[in-house]
Amino acid sequence: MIVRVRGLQKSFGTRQVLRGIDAEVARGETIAVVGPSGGGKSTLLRCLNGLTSFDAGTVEVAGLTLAPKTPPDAAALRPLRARVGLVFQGFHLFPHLTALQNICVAPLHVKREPRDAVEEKARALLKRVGLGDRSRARPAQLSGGQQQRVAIARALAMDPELLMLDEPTSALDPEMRGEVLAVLRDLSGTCTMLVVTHEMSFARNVASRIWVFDDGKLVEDGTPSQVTEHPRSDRARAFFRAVR
Amino acid sequence: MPIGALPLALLLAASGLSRVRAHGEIRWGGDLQGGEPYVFRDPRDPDKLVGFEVDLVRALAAKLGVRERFFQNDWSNLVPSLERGDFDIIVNGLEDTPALRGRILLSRPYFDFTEQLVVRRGSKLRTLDALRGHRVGTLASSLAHQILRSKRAIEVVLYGGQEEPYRDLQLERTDAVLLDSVIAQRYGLTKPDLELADADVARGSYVIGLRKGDSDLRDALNAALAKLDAEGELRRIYTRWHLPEVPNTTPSIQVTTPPQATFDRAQVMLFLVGAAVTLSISLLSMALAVPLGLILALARLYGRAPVRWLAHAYIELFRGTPVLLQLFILYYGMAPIVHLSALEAAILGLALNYGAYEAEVHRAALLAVPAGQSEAAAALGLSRWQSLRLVLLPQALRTALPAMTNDLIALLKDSSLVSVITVVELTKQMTITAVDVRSWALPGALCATLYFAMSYPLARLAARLEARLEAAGEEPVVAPAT
Repeated sequence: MIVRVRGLQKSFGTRQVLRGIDAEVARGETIAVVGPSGGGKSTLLRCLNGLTSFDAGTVEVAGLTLAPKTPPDAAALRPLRARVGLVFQGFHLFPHLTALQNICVAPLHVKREPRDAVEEKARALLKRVGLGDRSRARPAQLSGGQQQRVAIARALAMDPELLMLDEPTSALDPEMRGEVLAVLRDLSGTCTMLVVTHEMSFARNVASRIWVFDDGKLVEDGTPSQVTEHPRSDRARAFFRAVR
Repeated sequence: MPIGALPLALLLAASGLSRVRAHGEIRWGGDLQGGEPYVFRDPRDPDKLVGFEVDLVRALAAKLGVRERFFQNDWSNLVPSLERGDFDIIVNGLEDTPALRGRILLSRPYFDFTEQLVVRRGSKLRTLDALRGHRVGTLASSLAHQILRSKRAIEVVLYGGQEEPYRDLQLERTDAVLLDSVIAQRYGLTKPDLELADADVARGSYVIGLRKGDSDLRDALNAALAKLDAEGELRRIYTRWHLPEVPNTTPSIQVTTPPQATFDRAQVMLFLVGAAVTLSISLLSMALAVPLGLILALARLYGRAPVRWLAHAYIELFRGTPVLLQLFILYYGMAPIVHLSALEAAILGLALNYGAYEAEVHRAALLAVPAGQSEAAAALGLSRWQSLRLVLLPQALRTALPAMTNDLIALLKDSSLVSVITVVELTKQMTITAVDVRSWALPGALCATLYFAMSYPLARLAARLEARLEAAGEEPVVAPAT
């Protein structure tokens, strides 16, 4: 198991966002995390790499154990983050660096890999996300879809054991969603992925498993056909009726 | 013109004496900063002005049958203010020089003094000739200043107040001070480690200054002075204030009047040197202020509680107090602890002050970087320091650049403040030259031109830098540092 979560709880003030989550991810899986907004999907992802601290429970990711209430800037989190990639809804590319430089930063400075090897890998990754010719472009010169593909390449450059994507297509126009989803489809199977998404066709066709989150609980966990066609909870049934 | 205004206009155009009589008061200008014993606030009753010149003017006013009223005015600008009509006469240790004679009317002398050379006790440099190649302090635009400048090889250090030249002499920043006997007795020889090297270097006298055209007022004052002298009243005033008497010796040098300086190439060269001093001080100060500000900003944003408080306290303290005062404390107040040269103190003082402003510029710029940037950096496994260096600071620099340029241009002009700690930079050079050539027009214009010539290219350069950083050009200009 690359991810093992037991009894995970998180509150923001008096609002309980995660109410005791138990979940596991095996290597090679692609898990689509779906459910209504505010259900705790994004918070779960952020808890898994320590960007958000959690209140109680145990979290094991890529062989490392996270303690509750670890501050997000703790040095202890760095080995974990080197093994877990996170792609944001808003891309968050570094605007002062080119696409290639964005991809090279972490391998160069976190893993201290040699520059030549890093640049070669970065070029290969850019090609893989279909942007082989834009290595010298700055984020401002790229479309949203292109920026998100660079962000995915940036995360992949660290050879993550787990790649997490937090609503990677939500900030994009419909025509650009396709190009990002195509990249994700291409990646599925080659690395372990946890994707928070509202793209139901992606969840059905690409994911190996679907998690449905609602009101801070994991209400459904199964293969796409199980979950979408025979949901066990009323909540999940209502959700799939709404998004159909 | 309305008929009613006519008598008033006539009154204004009337000669000095009738104007004073009509007002019923004689208005006199001086600088309280000159202090004891000229005209100063009574330490026991700060509402009252005292001094031998107060007594003198009161006696003169009594003879004219009018009241007297004092007008505070910066000493170096007494003459222009007189010419503007701010007051009727100057009575404030004004020295009789031919230069002054050519510009305004002067009364007969009311007090004679000697120029006295004060040195550190036991010093071997006891004459102006021996002091060639050494630093000698005096007050700007004084007779002593004129004498020192006629001795080519002496490096003259100029002060604005009479306490500081002797303090710097004690601190070995200079090797002698040449000033008139009134000041030397009061401010120099009261210090146990200083002594008189030459009691009678030259002679001079204090006179009353009047506007050209007020010759009837001058004649009336001369008559009054003669009467006071004959009655022994002048002597009584001076004895009461313990003013030194002119000794029965022969002065060491005769003050020869230098021909009036013209605004020639030599003067222009001095301006260029002043501009170079201004530019060097500004650039060096800024070069120190920017990293200092960065450290303060980082301490304030990311430091632990005590570090954060210290940085905050530093910023508020240095922003909330005048830079002039900070320069004074650094140069004079700290002298027993750190012995800085005037130039070092100037650069450091401005850097310490501007560092506080740069800290806030950097802080604002860092806060303006979107939160997603540091999250993305953290999610990639970058340490906090790497995230700062590789992600946040390069972006903050771009935001901070326009503000930093503004500050540098402001610093260029603020640097004129360092003249209070004896550095002669562009503005100080202008005031010195203006006194020499007896005109503000040309020196002022040249001074302004030089400032503009320095600040405008800076503004242009900054605009271009900004544009270059802004430009999301295909060609990267910044390679990621390793």
